[in-house]
Formats: sequence, structure tokens, C-alpha cells
Amino acid sequence: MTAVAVLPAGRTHNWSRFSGVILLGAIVALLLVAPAFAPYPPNQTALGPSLQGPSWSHLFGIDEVGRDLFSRTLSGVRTSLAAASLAVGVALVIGVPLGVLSGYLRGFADGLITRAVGVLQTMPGLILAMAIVGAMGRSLVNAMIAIGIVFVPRIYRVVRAGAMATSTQTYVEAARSMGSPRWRIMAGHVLPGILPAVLVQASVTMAVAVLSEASLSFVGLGVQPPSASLGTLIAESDDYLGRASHLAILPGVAMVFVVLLFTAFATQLRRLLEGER
Amino acid sequence: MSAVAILRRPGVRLAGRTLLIAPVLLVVTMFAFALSLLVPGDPAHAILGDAATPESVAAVRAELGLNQPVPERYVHWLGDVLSGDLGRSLFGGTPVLDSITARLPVTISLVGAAILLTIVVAVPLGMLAGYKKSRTADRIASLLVSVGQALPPFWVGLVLVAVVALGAGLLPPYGYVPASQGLGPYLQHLVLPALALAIPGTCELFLQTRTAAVEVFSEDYVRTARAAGLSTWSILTKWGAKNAMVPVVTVCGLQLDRLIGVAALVEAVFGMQGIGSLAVTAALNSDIPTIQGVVLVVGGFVLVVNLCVDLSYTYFNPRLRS
Repeated sequence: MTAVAVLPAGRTHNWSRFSGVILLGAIVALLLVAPAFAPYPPNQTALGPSLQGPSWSHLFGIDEVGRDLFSRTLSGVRTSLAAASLAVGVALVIGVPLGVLSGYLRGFADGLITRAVGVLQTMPGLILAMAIVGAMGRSLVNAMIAIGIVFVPRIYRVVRAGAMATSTQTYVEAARSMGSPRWRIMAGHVLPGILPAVLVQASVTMAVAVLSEASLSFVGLGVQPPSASLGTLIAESDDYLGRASHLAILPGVAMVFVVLLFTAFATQLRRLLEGER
Repeated sequence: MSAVAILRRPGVRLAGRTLLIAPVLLVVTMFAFALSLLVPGDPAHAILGDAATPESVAAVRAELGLNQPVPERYVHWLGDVLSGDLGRSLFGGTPVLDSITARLPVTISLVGAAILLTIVVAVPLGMLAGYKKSRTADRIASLLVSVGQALPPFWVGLVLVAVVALGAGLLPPYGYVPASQGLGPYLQHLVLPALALAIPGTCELFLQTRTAAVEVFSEDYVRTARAAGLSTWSILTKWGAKNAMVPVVTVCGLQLDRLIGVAALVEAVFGMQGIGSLAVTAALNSDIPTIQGVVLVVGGFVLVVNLCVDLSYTYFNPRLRS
């Protein structure tokens, strides 16, 4: 630490600040393209051996109809990531505008929106999501919309706080004094100022979204078979727990890995943006 | 007695806080009602299926009151709910209130056991970690905690079933036995699901307790107590514990919200017939009246818990009473 501290803020220093975010981001990108390099097609069944444990030719073993679990897990991770992104996207699309409006305009609108979001927050998220999916009909898209709605308070709170802080900044005041319309101040001055915080929160929310997708798919309300997602993989293993517990354990380990990846990414991103370290 | 003094009396405060949850509860009922509007297509068609003729559809629509405007339907529905009629399940026709009350003990047992486990493990360990600050122990603890928080309870449940129940044969792998049929079997069936449910919350509560304890132990009154020669034990239990309870109670309240949701999955894994698995089945079948009932009961329950958490602050920290 002492040696680094003596150095002027040169390139090495910047590199080390970015390295965590770049490394973790690269792993996420790898996970997205990994199914293309999977050893077997994920839905290809095979006669012959079934329910076998890990081996060199099948790293995660084989499931009940001879499918390669490693390939299925890779494809499941990508499905889960895509689904989680959709949920976070829905939360952002609803939460960010509401948060900016609330935080910048204050007053009556703020009170109303904050109350409404507060009510959303009092309900247990999974029950709420299940209720919405039950009403809209089960499909992956509906499940992710439901989870996105459940996540709105997470995004909203951060955006609102950010917008309140930003709206007192001198540059916002300057824009106001020059007579910029309110929508332009909110979109052009307030919003860019809070994007870093939103990015961090979105990354944390991704971790929770992966878990939520898995939860809903596990009970059959999300991804529908034969598509593999982390949740359906674990659900399929339920019948073979006694004989082939690796079918439940290995996709679960992959899920925990993905969740920790996003949590770590968020931590690194926050440090980078706050200029710590 | 002045008006202010009356407002400050505990009973009045309690009544005031209780009244404050009424509007929130009203919004919850609106949400539950709105769920029925989200259903795609005509409910009459859904009920009649292939046998639908224009006349029978019109008859069912009239019977369900679907021709009335939405606000009128809401008021009508709310009236039913307030008189204790949550409707009947679209499948099997059981009154929703009956199936909820029948399943309530299962979920209460599961969530209660998980909360108990969380507190019993996390609070003492967190107090200890806050009292004895050791860098190595802290690092190990924070690593374990971040992994623990990422562990999805339904998966932990499956692993426990595979390893402890089916592998080692130590505990029953699934099911629920009411306490009336013997305390032993009741507890044996609860251990694994409660353990699975409790892990993420335990990690969270441990962190919160440690942070609170570190703060409390650096307060002047603790230093005074130590200077006065009081033993570590009595400082820990008498001064430390009670003051560190405020964040602990908050986290427990928040945990309860989350546990009720996650309990649905754990109930599914362990084949327990609780509120959560009722919600899962209802969602899978698009059984709207049952879904609405669960949302109302769970929403009401969570509001009451949050109220209790709010009120408990002033007990644990009298400085908040002003």
C-alpha cells in the first residue's frame, strides 16, 4: 500500500481500479457466449447411460434421459441471465422515471408515488410475483414482468434519493435559472448525475433477479420445459434426489456462483465510482 | 391534562399507529381485487370452457356481476371480504377462507421455527463478534456470510433432503406432522425446512447484530459499567443486548416479510401443505379467488408485524419515546 501511495496517479493505479470491474464483466460476457462452446447440445437425449455422476467426458454428469448436465447448466445460466435482465429492465423502466419525478418535483406527486411504492414493498416479493403470474398466465415473460414490478421499490428508492441530491447541485440550479423546461432538466441534468448509482443498484438487483427467476421456474411458474434455466434444472432433479443428488447440487452451485458474481460486480463498481481504494 | 400529554399516552399512541395501517390495508385490497382484472380473456368463457354459448356466457357474466362497472364490483367484493367471505376456489369449490385457515398452522410453524433458529444462532454470535474484534475471524465470518446470503433456501432444502434425510437417514425427507400428533415427530419434520429457510436471514442478522454491538460497546455507559467493575457477562446481557435489539428487531421484521415468500418454495420442496404451497398451486391453476385470499391474508399479516416492530422500538430504546 505504501509503495502505491507514493506513486502519482498514473496508469497502473487506474488499471488496478478498473481491473475488478473488467474481470467480473468479462466473466459475465463469457457466461453469455459459453453455450456456443458447450460439449453437447443441451437438449440432446441419448440412449445408454443415465443418471451418472461427474466424469471427464461429462463434467457435471448425465441426467435421467442421457443429457449432458454441464451443457444444460451453461445454457440454463444464459437463460437465467436473459430472464433476470428482462426483470431488471422492467424495474428500471418503471422505477427510474418515477424516482426522478418524485425526487425532482417533490411535493404532492412525491408523496403519492412514495406511498404507492411503500405499499408494494410491504408485500412479500415472491407471493406478489406468484399472484401476478397466476393472474396473467404463466410464461417466462410474465414471470419476469412480475418480478420486475416487485423490484420497482429497489430502483425507485435509489433514484429518488439521487434525484433529490442532484437537484440542489449548482449546474441544475443554473439550468433552472436559464429557463430550461422541467422535463429537459430532469432528462438532461438530473438523470445523468444518478446513472452511476442506478448502475450499481441494477447490478445488485440482477443477483436477486437470478434467484427469483430460479425460484419461480422451480415451482413451474417461469421457464417452461424442455428449456433449461437454473430453476428448471433444479426442479427436474427433485425426483432423483436419492439416487443422483449431483443433478440438484451442481446447477445450484452454478446459481450461487452467478449470484455472487453480480454481488461482487456491484461492490467493485461502487468502489470504482466512489473513487475508493 | 394537556392535549399533547394525552397524545403521548401509550394507549393513544398504539391506537394512532394502528389506525395508520388502515389506508395501506385498503390499497392491498385494491391490489388483490385488481388481480382479477389482469386475467386475459373473459372469465365466463374460462369457466364454461368449450360448452360456451352466447346465452350461457351472458348468464354467467350476469351471475358473476361482470356487467357492472369496475368500482362497483370492487365495493361489492370488498363488502364480501369484510364480512369474511373470500369466495370459493375455482377448483373444487372449497371456501378460500377455510383452505387458508387449515394451512395457517403449517406456515406459522415453519416461519416461526426459522425465525427462532435465526435469532438463537445469529444474535449471540453477532454480539460475540462485536465484543471480541479479531481481524481473521471477521474475514472468515464475512466470507461465510456473503456465501450464506446467496444460498437460495429451496436449493439448500433439496441438498439437505439429499444428504441428511435420504443419504444419512437422520430425519424425515418431507411432510408435516401437527404438534397434536406428538411433539417429537412435529419437531423432526420441522428441523430441515426451518434450517433451509433460516440460513440467509441468519447471515444478515449476524452482520446487523455485530455492527450494532460494535457501536453499543463503544458507548460511554458501557465504558462506565466496565470501569465500575461489572463482569463482561452482565455488560453483554444487560446493557449490550437490550440496546443492540433495535436493529435486530428491524431485521427480524424485514426477514419475516421475506421468509413468508420464500417459505412457499421450501414448503414445495418438503411437501408441506402451507399457505405458500397454496399460493403456488393457485398461481399454477390461475385460481384467482385463492390468490386474492392469500394476498389479503399475507398482506394483512405483514402489516401487523411491521406495526409490532415499530411499537417495540420504544420498549428497547426509551430514548425514542419523545
